[in-house]
Amino acid sequence: MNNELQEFSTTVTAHQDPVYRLALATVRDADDAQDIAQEAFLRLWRKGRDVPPEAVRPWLLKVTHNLCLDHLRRRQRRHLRLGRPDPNALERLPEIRPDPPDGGLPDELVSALDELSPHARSLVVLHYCEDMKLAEIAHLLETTTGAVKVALHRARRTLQEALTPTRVMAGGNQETGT
Amino acid sequence: MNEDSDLRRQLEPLRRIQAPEDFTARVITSCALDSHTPHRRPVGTYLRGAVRGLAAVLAVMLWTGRLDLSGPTEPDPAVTVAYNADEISAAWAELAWTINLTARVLDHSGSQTLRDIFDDRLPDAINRSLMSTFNANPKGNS
Repeated sequence: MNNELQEFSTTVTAHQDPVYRLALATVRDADDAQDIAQEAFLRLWRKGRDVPPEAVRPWLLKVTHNLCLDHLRRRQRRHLRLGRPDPNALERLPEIRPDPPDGGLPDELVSALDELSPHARSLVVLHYCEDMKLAEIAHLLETTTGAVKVALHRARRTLQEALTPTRVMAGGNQETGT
Repeated sequence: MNEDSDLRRQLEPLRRIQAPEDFTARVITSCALDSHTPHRRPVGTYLRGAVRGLAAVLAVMLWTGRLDLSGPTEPDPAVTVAYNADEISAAWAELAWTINLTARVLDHSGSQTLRDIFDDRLPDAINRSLMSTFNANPKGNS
């Protein structure tokens, strides 16, 4: 391996977890997330030294966020072209449990994340997992701090509702009490 | 504030997610392949360039008089044993038409058309040209 690649592998190791985490939380499929994260690093590699070291992480997260949204748009278009799925198809499938597509997250967290839009999932990951400030997220996504604040507030409310124990435990007789 | 820290705690499993073990290796492999594969032009581009070059050479030869597509004014005694001047002139015209057609089509085509040209059309055109000459006079003029 040449020196440049050796140096780049250190960069990959340093940033791969946040990039993969963002991709996985947004697209909700482990294989797709891996492909997207890989593509983000490949683009960084092609950029060479155009991206200064201190800007690498936000640059990667921004590219990953955009790649995720593009991927989901393409997937949606594909689904639209295929038409409505057969509602009884699942019942006819044999009893084979596939690998969890979400990297083994708890079920309640998976369903809570499913209630958010892909954009909101990205925001949640950037704020709560990568500990980014609202202004940093706004700068990264090229929007205003106010817009991020509002979107994050809505996402937080949706998540809290979805993750509240009373809702899970009460089942049909649910009452969130908030 | 409390709600926020509760949510942070509930999202803890998400924070613990890590990239697959072989991820770095996969990325480095794809980067290595990427850097060792220069952005080449498609093969068709080179062939198109070659055909254009050939066309330019032919044009220069034609202009300088080294290539006379109108056919020889004086029949070559070695050829005219079998074919007359009109037949040779027609064959030259067919050849010029074939080269012209090839150059024009290649100019607007990719590799698929190249295959089409070199596998079918060009051999057909040459074949047709030769066959029409031979059929007109199977034994020549002798």
